[in-house]
Amino acid sequence: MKGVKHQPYGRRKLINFGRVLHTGCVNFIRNAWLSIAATAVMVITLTIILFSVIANETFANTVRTITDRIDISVYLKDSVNEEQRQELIGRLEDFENVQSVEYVSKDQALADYKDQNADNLDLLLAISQTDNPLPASLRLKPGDPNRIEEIRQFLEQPDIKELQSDETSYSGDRKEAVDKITQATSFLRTAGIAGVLVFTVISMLIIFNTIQMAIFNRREELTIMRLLGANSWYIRGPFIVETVLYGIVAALLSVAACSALFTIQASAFDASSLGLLDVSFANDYFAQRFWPILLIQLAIGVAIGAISSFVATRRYLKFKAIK
Amino acid sequence: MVGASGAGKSTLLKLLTREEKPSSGKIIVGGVDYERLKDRDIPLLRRKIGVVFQDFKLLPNKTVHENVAFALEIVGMGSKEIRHTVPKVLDIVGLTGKEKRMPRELSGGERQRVAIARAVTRQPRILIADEPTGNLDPGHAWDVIKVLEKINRFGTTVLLTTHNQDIVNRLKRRVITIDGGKIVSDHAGGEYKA
Repeated sequence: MKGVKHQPYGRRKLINFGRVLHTGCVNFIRNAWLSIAATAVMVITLTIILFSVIANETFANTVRTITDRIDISVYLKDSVNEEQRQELIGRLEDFENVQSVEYVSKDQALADYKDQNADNLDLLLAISQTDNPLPASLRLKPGDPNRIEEIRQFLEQPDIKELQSDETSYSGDRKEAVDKITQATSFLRTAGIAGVLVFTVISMLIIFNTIQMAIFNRREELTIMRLLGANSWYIRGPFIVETVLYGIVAALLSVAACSALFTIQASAFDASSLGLLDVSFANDYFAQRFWPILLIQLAIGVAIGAISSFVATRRYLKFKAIK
Repeated sequence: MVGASGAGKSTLLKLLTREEKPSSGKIIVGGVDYERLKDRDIPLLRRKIGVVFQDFKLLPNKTVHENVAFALEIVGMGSKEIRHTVPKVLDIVGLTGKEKRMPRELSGGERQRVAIARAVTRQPRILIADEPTGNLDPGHAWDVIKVLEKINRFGTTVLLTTHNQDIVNRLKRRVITIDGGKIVSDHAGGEYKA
């Protein structure tokens, strides 16, 4: 065309890219209210996702801690000799749901007792005045805490039962507690993961809708640009830059908000445990993974922004009859 | 080009800018056969034809300068050249000094002149003006027509549609009358015939 000097192709691409970036940033500032609204929704979205993940992780950790603590002590009569003991250990180790068997001798049991009661002189004196009254024991770690019952039945067999000096230590109240914990944990893990997914999907739908509406309000602009002969990417680019900016700002704000919250509540609760949610674990989890979390939040924000504006601009960029 | 409402003026213009496709027949503009035009060529075609609309169609979030510059940006003109070109065009349409205004801060006549500046800044061979004075009072309308005359003197074909008998009669140019989608008269130094 006469009059317009065309730049070399590569340089033109670069100029266009620069202009798209620039226009996107200018629009971000000029559409301040829209930017604030969309960014706010995005902050909420990202914060909910972050919180769900941290809560779920914290919970999973609580479950792990509790399950790790589950063990079974089999107390042996003093009359049990070396050979009988080795045979029992062998049989237990062969048992499917037993992860490990640890032998605690009488001497070891006494030493442990002394350690545990180092502050209590009365208890120490009581024990030193007699022969070692503590039984030797086998400490079992179950592979799957949900299947402790099988081990119990195994230990109830008469030939094993006769080697034991006392009831196995999971029995009574403790067994019930162990049972409840193991039942609850598997349910709650599933519920936690489902919760994260549901929250993520809902908040993504909300942000999608917000951005779609924002672009719908400016469809006239898109139409005009097309009439002037701008190609699709030149029109779409600034919108994508703008929504990606929402994502970046929102990610920064969301991580900053969480950071502030953790700092404040850490001092308020003094790293105490709130039932199943171990606050200090949540704190550590967040603090140790600060940079990865920030990066992931940025990635999610950018992705949501880019995808939703891409989809939203799509319908206005088709070269069909304009009404 | 004149004709009653619904005669087919706007449809013809939309066919020329490829906003619509003809249900039958052939369109050739400046040697380009529209039948052979692919979707991705449409932006290129539109860059060669200047269009001015009754409702201006300015970009509401851009200043006067940016609105005109936008037309040049999309053809990939360098920034320095744009800064050089835009003031010249704004001078032609008489808007020097209003570069930083937003469209909402301008009168209807001024907005239409921004739209004209935008349409001619790429020096198209054809300028299509679809009822450019339709939304303007007579004083502003005449300002706009004078700008179009000036552009025509520079060598651009101006295709103007209007309802305004007064404008047609004073311009004394070729007048094509359309009715029911067909050309019913075509006069050289024509007058408005209702």
